[in-house]
Amino acid sequence: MTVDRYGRRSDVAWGWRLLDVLIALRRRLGVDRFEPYRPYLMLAPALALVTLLAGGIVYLVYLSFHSFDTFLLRQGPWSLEQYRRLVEPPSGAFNLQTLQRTLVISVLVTVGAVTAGLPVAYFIVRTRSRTMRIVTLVLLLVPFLMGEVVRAFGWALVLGSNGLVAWVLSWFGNDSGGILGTPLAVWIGMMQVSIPLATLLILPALTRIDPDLERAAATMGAPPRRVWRHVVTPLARPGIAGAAAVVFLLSVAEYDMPAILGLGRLPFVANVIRSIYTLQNNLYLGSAFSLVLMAISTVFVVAAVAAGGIRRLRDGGGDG
Amino acid sequence: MGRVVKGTLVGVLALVALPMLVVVVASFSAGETLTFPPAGFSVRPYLDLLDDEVIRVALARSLFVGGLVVALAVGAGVPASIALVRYRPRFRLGFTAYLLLGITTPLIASAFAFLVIYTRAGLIGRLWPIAVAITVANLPFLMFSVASALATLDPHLEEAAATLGAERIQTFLLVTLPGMAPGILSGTIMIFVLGISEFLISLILSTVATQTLPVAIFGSLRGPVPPTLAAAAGLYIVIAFMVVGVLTSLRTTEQFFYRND
Repeated sequence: MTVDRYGRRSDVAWGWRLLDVLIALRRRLGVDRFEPYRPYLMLAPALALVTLLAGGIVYLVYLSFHSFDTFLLRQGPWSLEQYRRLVEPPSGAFNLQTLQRTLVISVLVTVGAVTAGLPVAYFIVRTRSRTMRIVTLVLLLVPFLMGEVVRAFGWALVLGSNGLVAWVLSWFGNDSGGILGTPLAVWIGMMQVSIPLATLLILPALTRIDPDLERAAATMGAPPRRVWRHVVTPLARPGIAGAAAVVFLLSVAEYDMPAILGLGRLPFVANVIRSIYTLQNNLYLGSAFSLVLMAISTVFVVAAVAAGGIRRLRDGGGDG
Repeated sequence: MGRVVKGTLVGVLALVALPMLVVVVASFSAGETLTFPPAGFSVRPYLDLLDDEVIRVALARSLFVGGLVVALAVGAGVPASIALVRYRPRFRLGFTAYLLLGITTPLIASAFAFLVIYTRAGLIGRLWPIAVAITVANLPFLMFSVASALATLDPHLEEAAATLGAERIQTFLLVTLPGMAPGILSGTIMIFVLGISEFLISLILSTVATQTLPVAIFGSLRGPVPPTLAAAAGLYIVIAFMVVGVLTSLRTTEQFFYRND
C-alpha cells in the first residue's frame, strides 16, 4: 500500500474514485439548480415517446375527417365522407358485420377468461404448495412471451385438418377434418393468452382478501358455493373489472387468430383495416375505422371499470 | 379447495400447454409438410432453419428491433418510473394515465396511428421506426416491473444512507439502484422478448425489406407448412420458457404477481 502526496491510498477501489468524480462533476455543473424540475426531466423521454403515439392519434382524427380521391390518391376538403363510406354500400354491411363479430367474440372471450381466471387465481393465492404455485405461474406467463403468431401457429396444428383434434376424431370415424374456420376455433385460440392475462390481473385483488373471512363464512354454515358468491367474488370485483377491461382491449385488436384459425373467413376489424390499407392504399378510411374501434372499446372499458367501482360501494352498504 | 377450482385449474393448464407441446413435437417431424401425428422424427427442421436465408435475415432484424426496444424502453422507462414512484410530481395520475396510452389504445389503432405519421414522415421501409412504435406499445410493462421493485424497496434505506452522510449520487448508485436491479433486469428481459415476438405493429409498418421474424412466419403459414416453421416456433417457445425460468429464479415473478402487501 502506498500513499501519494495528496494522501490518496492506492488500495482505495477505483469505484469510490469514480464516485468522487461524479460528485465533483455534479457540483461543478450545478445540477441542484434543476432540483425543482427533476421529476419532470426524468419523465421527459418517456413522455416524448408516448407523444409520438398521441400525435399519431390526433393525425388519425384529422385524416378521418377529410375526403380522399381513391382514383387520383389526392386529399380533398374536410368532410364526413370516410365515416359515411364505413356504413354505406358497397362495403358498409360487411364493415358493420365485421365490427359486430369482433365485439361479440371479444365479449365471449372476456367472459370466458374471467370465469376461468378467477378460480385459477384463487388456487395460486390459497395453495400451500409453493411448487404448484410456481408451475402454474410459469405456464401462465409463457404464452405472453411466445408472441401471437406462435400461439396461432400452435392452435393451427392442434385444430387444423392435419392436426391433433382431426386425428383424434378420426379414431371415432369422424373425418370432418378439424374445426378451423369456425368462430369456436378463433375463440379457443384467443383464450390461450386471455385466461392467463385475466388470472394475473385478478391475483392482486385476491391476495388482499383475508382468508379468515372465508373461514368465518364457512363456520357460519355457508356452503362453498355461497362463500364464493357472497365473499370471494364481491371482494375480487375491482380486480375482475380491471381484468375484463384489459382482456377486452386486447381482444378487439386481434389479428392472427381470425386470419389463421378463422382461415380469413371470419375477419376482425384489424384484418379489415389492414386490407383497406394494403389493397386500397386508403389511409383515410383506415383512420376512420381505427377511431371507431378505439371509441367503442373506450366506452366498454369505462363501463367495466365503473361497474367494478360502483358495485363495490353498494356492497359496502349492506347485503344487496 | 373445491373440486371446481381444481378442475378449472387442470383445464386451463391443459389449454395453455397443449399447443406448445404440439409445436415442440411437430418441430421434430421428418417429411416435407406438417401432419399430426408426424410421419417420423428427425432434427432436420432445426438444421434447415440454420440454412434458411429468409428466416436468418428476419431473425437478425428481430434481434436488432429487440435490442433497440430494450435501449429505448430502459432509457425512458426507468427514470420515468423512479420519478413517478419516488418523487410523486404534480399531476402524477395524469402522467401515469398518459404513459399507459400504449396499452389503453387497441393495438391496431396504435399501429395505424404510427403508420400515418411514418408515411407522412417518409419513414416506412426502415427498421428503427418499428422499434420505436413497439417500445411505446410495451413501455408500461417495463414500468410496472420497475415500479413494483421500487415499491418493495424500503425508502428508509435511502434516508439512512443520507443520514450517514452519503451524497445523492452515492445513495442512488449504491442503495437505490441495487435495490431496483431485479426489477429492472426482469423488465428488460420481458420487454426484449416482447420486442422480438411482436407481430401486429411489425406487420402494419413493415415492407418486404423490413419483415421481422414473426411477420415472416405469418407470411409462410398460407399453404402447406414446412417443419422448419415449427422449428422456428419451437425456438420462440424455448426462449419464452427460459426467460420465465430466469424471471422465476430472480424471484421477481412472485414479487410481481403475488405480493402480500
